[in-house]
Amino acid sequence: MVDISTAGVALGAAGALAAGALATAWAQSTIGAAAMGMMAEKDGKEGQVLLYLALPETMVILGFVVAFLIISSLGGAGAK
Amino acid sequence: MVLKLEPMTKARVVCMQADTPRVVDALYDFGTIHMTRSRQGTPGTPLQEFREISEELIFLRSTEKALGIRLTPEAGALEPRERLLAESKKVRKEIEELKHDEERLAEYRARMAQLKAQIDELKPFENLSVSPATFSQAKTLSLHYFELKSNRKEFEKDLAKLPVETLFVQGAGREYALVAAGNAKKALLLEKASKHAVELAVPKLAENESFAGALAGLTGELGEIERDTAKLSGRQAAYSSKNASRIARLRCQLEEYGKKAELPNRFGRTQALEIIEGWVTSRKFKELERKILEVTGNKATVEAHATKKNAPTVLKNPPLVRRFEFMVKFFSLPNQAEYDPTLFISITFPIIFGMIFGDIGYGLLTMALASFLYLKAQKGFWRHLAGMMLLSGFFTTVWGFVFGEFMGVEDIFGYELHAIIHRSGPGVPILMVAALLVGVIHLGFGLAVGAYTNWRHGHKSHAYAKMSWIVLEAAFLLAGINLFAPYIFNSPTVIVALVLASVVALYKFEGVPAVVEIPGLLSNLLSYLRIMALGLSGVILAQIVNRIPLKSSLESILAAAAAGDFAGVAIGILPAIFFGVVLLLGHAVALGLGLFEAGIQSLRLHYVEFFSKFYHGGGIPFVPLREK
Repeated sequence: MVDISTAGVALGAAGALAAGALATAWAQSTIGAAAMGMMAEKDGKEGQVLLYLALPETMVILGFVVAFLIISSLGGAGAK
Repeated sequence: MVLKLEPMTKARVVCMQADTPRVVDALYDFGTIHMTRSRQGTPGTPLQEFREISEELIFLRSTEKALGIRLTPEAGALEPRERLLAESKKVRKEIEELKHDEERLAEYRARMAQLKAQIDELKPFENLSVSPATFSQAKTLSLHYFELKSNRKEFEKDLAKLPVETLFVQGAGREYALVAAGNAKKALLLEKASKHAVELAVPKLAENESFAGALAGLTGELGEIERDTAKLSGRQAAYSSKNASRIARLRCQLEEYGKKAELPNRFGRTQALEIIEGWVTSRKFKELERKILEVTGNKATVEAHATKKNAPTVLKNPPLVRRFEFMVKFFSLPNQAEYDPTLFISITFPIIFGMIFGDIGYGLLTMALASFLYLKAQKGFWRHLAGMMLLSGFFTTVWGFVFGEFMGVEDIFGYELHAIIHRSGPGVPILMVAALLVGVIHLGFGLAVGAYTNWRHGHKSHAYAKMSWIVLEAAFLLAGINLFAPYIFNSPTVIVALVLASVVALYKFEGVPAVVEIPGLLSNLLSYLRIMALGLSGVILAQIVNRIPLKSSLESILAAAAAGDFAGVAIGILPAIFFGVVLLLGHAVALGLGLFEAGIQSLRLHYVEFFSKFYHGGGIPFVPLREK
């Protein structure tokens, strides 16, 4: 049986990651739509589009870091 | 020095207008001048031959469009202009002849449509044995020819009570009926018949001509015209395929002459002189001067202007570094006041790439892929990309040894790897600190370059501000160490003092905007945590792929073989093959994702975080005047 504080910490970590992921997804959807417009107008901009799409990934990465720090506080951190 | 841009000189050539064609040829031969529009005198006019070339170009382009030619001929030596113009005129004659064919084709098509309509009209009468004259000659009888809509029985039933004679005719999958009635019963007949049939108009034919005979004649004529049409169309298609490359080559070569002929549009002119301006690399200025004086018989002046305003950018890097130039060009070329950051990128990009991807197996695979690409691509973007990947793969392997990882496991075929930093368990916080440390060094270096650049250009307050940012960054680093490893450094007072000193300095040298930007530096630093985060996700992905039970599957096959259980061996082979394929695909996907993510995110750290500390770009690309 998982105690309530562990569950709370896990939920907090999940929330941090989910918020970052949602924010990234929202930003990428907007950038993606604009990027399609740009590519339709001008050839050879695919590389720049990829970069612009990668920019908001910072949010999910920071969300991941926060989640990691929260889980670390339980002493269960690690990739393995 | 690799960091500095190629020095540029603005050249101004003044020559006699009579020498303009020779000077234009000389500028093209020179091949390394970036032309600008001269503001001296009145605007120049194109060379005399421009009109003729333009007319031929319009003709050739419209011919290409009409014949559906979409070829880009390979680059080759420019043929003499007169020969090209003569050949273009020859093509014009050939096209005129083809145009006659086109007119004949239009006539044939119109006749074919006419014949088809006549044949359609005659087709229902094909099997009717009655002569066409019978219809016009009948006086007391009314003759009608119907195409039946419903079945024959119903038609017969409805007409049964009328005094009529009916002859049914089959043809072309349909049924027709020739009905003869007295003139008095004509109206009644038409009313009854209209329920089940449609009356057909009798085509007008020549005297003594039968329906079948007329139809055969028309069909014969149609066949003949169709054959002639195919022949003419074939001639057009054959001309198009035979002459496509010739026409495209003519067009491309004349385009080059067209560009040359309109080049004087960018010159300035007085009553007798032509004024030409452009940028050349300083070391080539003397060569330009020599060339111009040679073609004009010393009747020209070539001056160097002491200005750097709007000078185009030419990067100057050795081959090893040059492969990273596309990354700088992709962002923006350096302007004349800046250093070329290609050297920095060529060092830090592979290191950060390797730190994100860090795996011996994937690193070696990346190097193998890059070597293959390097051998395949002779030049251009792919060749540069391959060279860059080779270096990045090397650093991925080096970091793989640091992390002790080979395709997601910590041994190479049983030989244990001893990691310096583990990307799991307690090693993760160390990795986090390492990522931040890379950020501190990377940003600090960017700020130092920014400080030096500002100092060199006499912007001393900005240079001091950049140094203050470095102090603030050092304070952040110490705060991090204080938080995560207090046994190394534990002095909050020093940290607070450094922060306060740098904030005051920033306010003094750059005002409130600099103070407002302080959280931005923290955000830049935290951004480097992606090195750790992406590294971890890569490891986890590789570990998930490694869970595919190929090993146990192979062991069970070997055990069955040892026990002589051949049925067990046969049963085990298929799953083993399946697991093997999935394992390979899984690692291929992990490799692809790793290459993509490490590349994009490393590039992002350079463009957004690193460049923002010293680099603005906005340089003008150097476009040398030369034949394609």
